[in-house]
Amino acid sequence: MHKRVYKQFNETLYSETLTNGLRVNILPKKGFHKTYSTFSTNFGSIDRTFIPLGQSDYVTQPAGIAHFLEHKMFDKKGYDAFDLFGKYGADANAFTSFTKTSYLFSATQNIHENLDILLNFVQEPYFTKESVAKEKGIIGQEIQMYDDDPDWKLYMGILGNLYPHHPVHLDIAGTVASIAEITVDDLYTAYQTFYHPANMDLFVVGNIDPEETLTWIKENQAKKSFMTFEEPKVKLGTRETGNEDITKQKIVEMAVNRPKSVIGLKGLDVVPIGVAGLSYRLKANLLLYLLFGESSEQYLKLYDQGIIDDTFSYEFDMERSFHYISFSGDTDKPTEFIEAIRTILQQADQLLPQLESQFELAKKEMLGRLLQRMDSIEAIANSYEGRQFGYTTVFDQTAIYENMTLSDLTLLAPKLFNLDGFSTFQIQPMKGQKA
Amino acid sequence: MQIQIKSGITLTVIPVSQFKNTQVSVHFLEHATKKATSYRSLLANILETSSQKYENQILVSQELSRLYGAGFGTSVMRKQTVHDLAFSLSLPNDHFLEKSDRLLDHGLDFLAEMIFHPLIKNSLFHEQTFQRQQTNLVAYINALKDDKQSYAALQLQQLYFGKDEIQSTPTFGEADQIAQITNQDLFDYYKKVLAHDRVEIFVVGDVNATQIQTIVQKWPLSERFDDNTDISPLSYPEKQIHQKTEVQSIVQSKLDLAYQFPTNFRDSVYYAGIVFNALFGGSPLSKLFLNVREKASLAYYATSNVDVFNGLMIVQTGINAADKEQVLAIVAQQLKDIQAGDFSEDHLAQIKTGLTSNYIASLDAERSYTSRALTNRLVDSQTSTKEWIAAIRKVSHSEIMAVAKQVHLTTSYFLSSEVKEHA
Repeated sequence: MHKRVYKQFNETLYSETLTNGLRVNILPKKGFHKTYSTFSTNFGSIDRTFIPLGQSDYVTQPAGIAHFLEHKMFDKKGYDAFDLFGKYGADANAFTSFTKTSYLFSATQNIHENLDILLNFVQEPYFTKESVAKEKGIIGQEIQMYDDDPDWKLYMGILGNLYPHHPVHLDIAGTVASIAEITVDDLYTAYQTFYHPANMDLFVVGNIDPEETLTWIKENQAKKSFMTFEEPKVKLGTRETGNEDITKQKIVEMAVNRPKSVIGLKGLDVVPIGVAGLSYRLKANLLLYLLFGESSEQYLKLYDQGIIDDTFSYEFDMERSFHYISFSGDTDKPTEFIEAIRTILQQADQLLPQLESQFELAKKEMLGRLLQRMDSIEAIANSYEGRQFGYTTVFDQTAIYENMTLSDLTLLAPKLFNLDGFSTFQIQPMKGQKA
Repeated sequence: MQIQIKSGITLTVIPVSQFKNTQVSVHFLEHATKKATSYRSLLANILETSSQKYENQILVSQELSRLYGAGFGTSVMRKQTVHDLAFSLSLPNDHFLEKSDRLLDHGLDFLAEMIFHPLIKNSLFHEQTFQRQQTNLVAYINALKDDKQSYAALQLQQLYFGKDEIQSTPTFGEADQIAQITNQDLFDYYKKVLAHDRVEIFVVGDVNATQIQTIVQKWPLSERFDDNTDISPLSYPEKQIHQKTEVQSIVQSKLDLAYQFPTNFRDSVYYAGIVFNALFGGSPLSKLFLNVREKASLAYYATSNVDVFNGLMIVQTGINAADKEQVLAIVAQQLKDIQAGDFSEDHLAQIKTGLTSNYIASLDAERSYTSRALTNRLVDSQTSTKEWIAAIRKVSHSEIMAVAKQVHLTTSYFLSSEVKEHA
């Protein structure tokens, strides 16, 4: 078992890749009461066009397949995984993102049993026609709940503008119409292609003994056999990094009380993966923090002018096959908001050299934020991105920040702030109607 | 460890060594009124943004960066009739920093600055700050209506409490009242808060109590004797049935129900009430989750939760408008089943395991130490983890049936996606 000691934080991460390809990370947390474990596959909502395992042609599955599969995984022959976790005192859940599906539990007892339940229910697919039909009602309500959520609409709206030909523009859960098409066969096909242990990560954090925990996992895996692993081949649409297909601007009406605006900036550069990818992401975060964070002159100016308020936020999302920045908020002055953000992006090269002292302070800020996350066993496991960021954890991020210089950010800015990828999406209150 | 700083001002230090951070919170407590709720909400926003020393958000957030990304915020909350205006700060423990520089001392000084030395011009709050925060808070409250789940819950709350002025007011106040507050009114009120409110200070982490006490004792707070923050057992209002339907152009309808709930905080049936709620709709193993969602596929969420301080249970669901009667019937049936004792010992055991497990798991979040300690101080009683777990385990089948028989549906609010045709 590989052992990595983080002396400054008094933490040790244990990891090992099993013979079947499953990568296991174990982080013992002394003094903590619960144990949290995630079992994740590199399969998310964008992975709908792929070559099924053992075949040679691409198929395109209905939007929402990964999320549907996540829901259906809990239904087993003769039992429900959720109930079984309950019997052993565990809280179980799962989530699907654009690029990942994770199954998880947290428990304060019966850790061995609960780990077995987690591994077993995810590794023993069982889908029936009846239960697939039943799930459509539940997920249909989940989709409709999001239909009424203006912040979600805003988010999906800007992704639609930035990525009209990339499946990230499709809602993670799909639509009521797309999930209606999902069949038992679709689920098995997706499962077999993406749920191989070599395409998955297991993360265990909490009040555990690492050696003993690894033995349990190995014993469980030794009882199962898997086909030879083939790297899933996924097609993500054309012109993934180009800007020629971007919708520059869109305004929709919805039953809201205040106008909402979002600005999207599609990443048009080619970004690295692995540790270099993580480093890129952290630099981008720091860059945005310096220019748009609450301690920036720009933020205060826009705040005092009433162009932004406490609803303002920015985000840099960098996942497998796409990266973009978004700036969003409720504002009664959408035009001023959009122009102000555009101007700051354009002036980044002039602003940055003056921010040397703010840069040092920002590094301190980031170190503190990492320390906050280290107190949450959920945050430790959930922020692990596997292969995408070189199998790093939150404990590796401090060193990256410490080595960062302001000129790193000055070099990054022109690549990241390419205004060819600039787009806006607005939600306006419906005319003549108050919600 | 509890230290009386002065009359009406108490410091509680909770030493826990498992965390890398220290959590500090300062609570100003007072008997809630409708008017004061709006005042305190605006006050929280103003005091969060600036101070004499840190004149704007930049200076505030730079100081927080100097404290290694310390998290700082103000909040307002209500527990029954007690209103809580709180300041909280979370910052790393010196052990994990390369330079150990008594960060907690600086953090406490920062808190004192923000609480006691607001940005004042001409014996008023800085006018621009006041106006900006007033405008923003009004806009924020109006925009909350766009979150349909919370909108429906607030409508239900108002309907349920009816003429009870305090309980029918949202904890963040009311937009039209906030819009009318003047700078002078609020500044006078602020001075009143500092002089009269009961003050509870909590520090959780790997800390030294004496060091904290020395600092807190120097804070400009005088002793106070007019404590009106009693949480008292409830007398239940008359049983009235209220129903309301509202139509909006939305996709998913919300059906929310309010029930009188027969327990008070830590009274003789308190633990049975907690178990009842988890069995009925308060957990993913509950009957509502199982029957409304898993069996009938009518909802993505169908949950219940209780406010034991107000003797209230609410049920929230997101459904198709056409399914309303069916959902009502299923929810009613679950209550009847529990009243009739129609639930297995196995199911009950699972529910209890889930509750105790969650309780133990909450010991891994510093915030839960603070909120539990505050509750203990307000109700003036203590329960250890061991006692809590033992009490949950002891709850019997018949005790749950007895609680269920006293749970009465009194209010229903339906936010409908469509206009109902008259049949």
